[in-house]
This record gives sequence, C-alpha cells and structure tokens, in this order.
Amino acid sequence: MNCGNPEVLQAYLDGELPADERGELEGHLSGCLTCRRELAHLKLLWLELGQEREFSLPPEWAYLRQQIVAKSAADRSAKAPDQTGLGFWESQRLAWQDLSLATAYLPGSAEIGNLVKAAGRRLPGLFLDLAGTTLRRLSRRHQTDRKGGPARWSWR
Amino acid sequence: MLLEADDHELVLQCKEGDGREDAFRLLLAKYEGYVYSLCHRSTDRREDALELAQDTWLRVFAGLSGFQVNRPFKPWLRKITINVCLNFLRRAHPEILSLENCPAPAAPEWDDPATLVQWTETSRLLREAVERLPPLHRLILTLRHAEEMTYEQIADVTGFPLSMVKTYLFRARRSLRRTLAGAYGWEVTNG
Ligand SMILES: [Zn+2]
Repeated sequence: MNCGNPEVLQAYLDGELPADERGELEGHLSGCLTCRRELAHLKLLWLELGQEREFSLPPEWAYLRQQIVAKSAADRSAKAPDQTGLGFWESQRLAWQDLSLATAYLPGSAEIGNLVKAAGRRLPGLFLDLAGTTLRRLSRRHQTDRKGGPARWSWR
Repeated sequence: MLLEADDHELVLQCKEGDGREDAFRLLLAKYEGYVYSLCHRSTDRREDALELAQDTWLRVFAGLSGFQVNRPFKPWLRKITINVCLNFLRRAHPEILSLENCPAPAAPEWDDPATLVQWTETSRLLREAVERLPPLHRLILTLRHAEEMTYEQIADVTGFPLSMVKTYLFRARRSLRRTLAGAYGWEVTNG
C-alpha cells in the first residue's frame, strides 16, 4: 500500500475499507511504526470528534416553539382529518360556535350554511356528518390551492 | 404516561390524537436540541440556526400526515433537517456545493504550541478548529462522527456523490489532524 496514506487510514477508522484492503493495511501496520503512530494520532482525533457537544437552545427559542405549535395545530385543524372523521376539536367548534358565522368564511360552504339555518343547533350529528364530507372536499381543494399560494382560510 | 411515550406513540398523537398540541410539545422537547445543534453546524449565525430549526419543525409537523408511523421517526426527522440546512447553504453559498470549488479548510493558527499540551485545552482548540471549518465540512463531519452515518448514507441523505462526501471528510479531518499535531507537538508528516 501507499505507506502513510492518510485517506486509507481515515477510511480504515471509519470502517469503510473493503475487507481485502483492510487485511493488507493490517499486515502493513504490524511492520510499520510510522503508520501505527499516525493511526494512533487519528484515533485520538476520532475520540474527540465522537464527543461532539450539543448547542444549547437560546432563550428566544421558547417563542419560536410557541409559534411552531400554534401554526402546526392551525394547519392540522384546517385540513380535514383523513380516515378518522372529524376530530374532537373540530366537532367542538362546530357544535358550539355560532354556526352560520363559523361557516361564513368557508368558500363553497353554502350547503352547510343552508343546513344550519334549517336545522339550527339541534342536529349536530346530522350536521357533522355533512360538514365532515364537505370539509374533506374543501380541504382537498384547499391543499391543491395552496401551491398557488392564496391566503389561507380560517375558521374564524 | 404521555411523558414516557416513545416516538411511535408521540407521532400517532401528533397525527390524530386529541392531545395533538401536547404531543407536538413533547416531540419538540425530545428533539429540539438535536435539530438545533444540527442546524448550527450549517451556519455560524445563531439567528440562522434558529430560523432553520423552526423551518424544520414546521415541515416536520406538516409532513406528519404523510409519515408512516411504523417507520423510525428520528432518521426521517434528520433527513428533513439536513434538507433544510442544505437548501439554506445552497441559497447562502451557492459556490460551496461544487466540488471544484470545495474550499480547503483554513489552516490552524499556532501562537504558542508549547503551552497547549493539556488535554482539556486540546479539546477546546479542536472544537474551535471544527467551528472554523466551512459549514458544509462541519455538517458532513457531524453526520459521520455524531450521527455515525456511513459514507453511503451521507451521500444518500445529502444527494452528493460519494466521492464528494469522501473529499469533504478527508479534507476536514486532515485540517483537524494538523490542529492536533500543533497542540501535541507531533511532527506533521502526512500533510
Ligand atoms: Zn507505513
């Protein structure tokens, strides 16, 4: 081998040397003090690099974390739940908010609004079934719209 | 019980559970330091690292609906983090991602090697030398040594050719090896 080739020694320590080259190197090492010494030096470096420290999060992260949770929760409630039907949060909102107001901002939600006017709040089950279907449809449309980047609609 | 929840349970909670916000927070608490540290390898500026970390988490939570819960979470999280970091590096330093321009890491500076033989001192010097490396060298070094990824895995997750991964690794460590040589007073025989 190329005596003292630092790349071979590095790959050896990384465990990336093919078996035949590894055998060749180990044979060489047994007879070459220079390479053994160099290997020892590199091992020391590997040892140090293996103890990488973590950066501690600065205080302003608390605020950013808050934003992440709020944004992600809002995103998730805007999307219709997939196979699970309406989530608890959505159904609570639908059941207890002023429904006509809550749906007024939904594009294409005329059928929900009409149903609400007709049924009031007394038939949340029926409403939620319909709303669930409509929401799923809306959210699909919403998801495809999002690539074009229109303003996000919200529940409020 | 949620406090002791493993990744699998947490991810499930994030996807469909009623306590979604709590699950977001728990997942953040578990991995926010990890993500931030990884982001910090890609930039010298704390503000950038914070922005990268936030961007990563927004993508993670938005992407969870498409994530298969039976797969391990951390490698997926790592991949998203690395992608966010590499996109940042491409925007901030388009030149560093071409191998021809792959900058050689800065040579270590030695004022008084004789005073630098203590182990703790050496660790500090080495850490400073790592921080002086170009961001991409630092990131790849982290993937190899802290994340213990193979060359192949690094190439896969970064999208770089294998040869480029090796070159970056070898150069970064050769530079650090010189730092150690200075600290310990070794003769620098192998460059
Ligand atoms: Zn030799």
